Amino acid sequence: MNTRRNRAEKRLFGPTVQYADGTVAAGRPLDVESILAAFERLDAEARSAFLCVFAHDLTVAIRALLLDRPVPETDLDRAWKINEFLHQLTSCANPLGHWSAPDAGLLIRAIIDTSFERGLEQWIGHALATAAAATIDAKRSVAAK
Amino acid sequence: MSGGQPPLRRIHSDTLYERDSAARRSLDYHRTRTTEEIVESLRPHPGNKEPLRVKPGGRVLQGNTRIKVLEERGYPVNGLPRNVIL
Repeated sequence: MNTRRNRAEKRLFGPTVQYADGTVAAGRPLDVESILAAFERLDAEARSAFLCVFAHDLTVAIRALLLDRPVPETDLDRAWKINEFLHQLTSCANPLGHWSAPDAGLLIRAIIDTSFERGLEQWIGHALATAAAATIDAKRSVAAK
Repeated sequence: MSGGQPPLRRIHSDTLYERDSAARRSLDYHRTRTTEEIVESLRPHPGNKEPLRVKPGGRVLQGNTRIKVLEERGYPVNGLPRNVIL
């Protein structure tokens, strides 16, 4: 019960977009449970694609964290942690590996949970939204046609 | 400023493309693409896995090479919609 409540309080958000006239559209809250459930239903190739997009998006987070020198110790720690995420995600994404869909889902869930502990939820939310839109939503729209 | 947006500033300098063979390779690849393809690839929308992403001041965190190619072609890059990392 507490875990469920904590998850509800700790929300992830998708990308914030700024348009040419300066208008800013704030990122929408993500339905993490639906995304993870849909991820586990993807076939192996699509899961691998999801993980690749997720990992690629996180490399942008490292750029942002290390862009301005000197880098605060907290941001160095965050960059280190994201590198750990990338290490795990790229192993999991390898089509020659042996990660089951539920195990891969648990890995993503663990990364989400860790992101709240390390102040990385902005980056994980963006990466999760991007990966879901590029794979799960794309697959749904193809199926609907 | 273009409308309400600060101008884009690439974090990859021109000299990077001279020194770094991987960056040069990426530049050569994007130069083969049409302007329309590149602009579409930068547009933030659900389903685009590599949209233009910038810091609030306009520094480009994703899309540097594509922006460079558009600049070479005289495209008005500062009006492009962008993902802002707040």
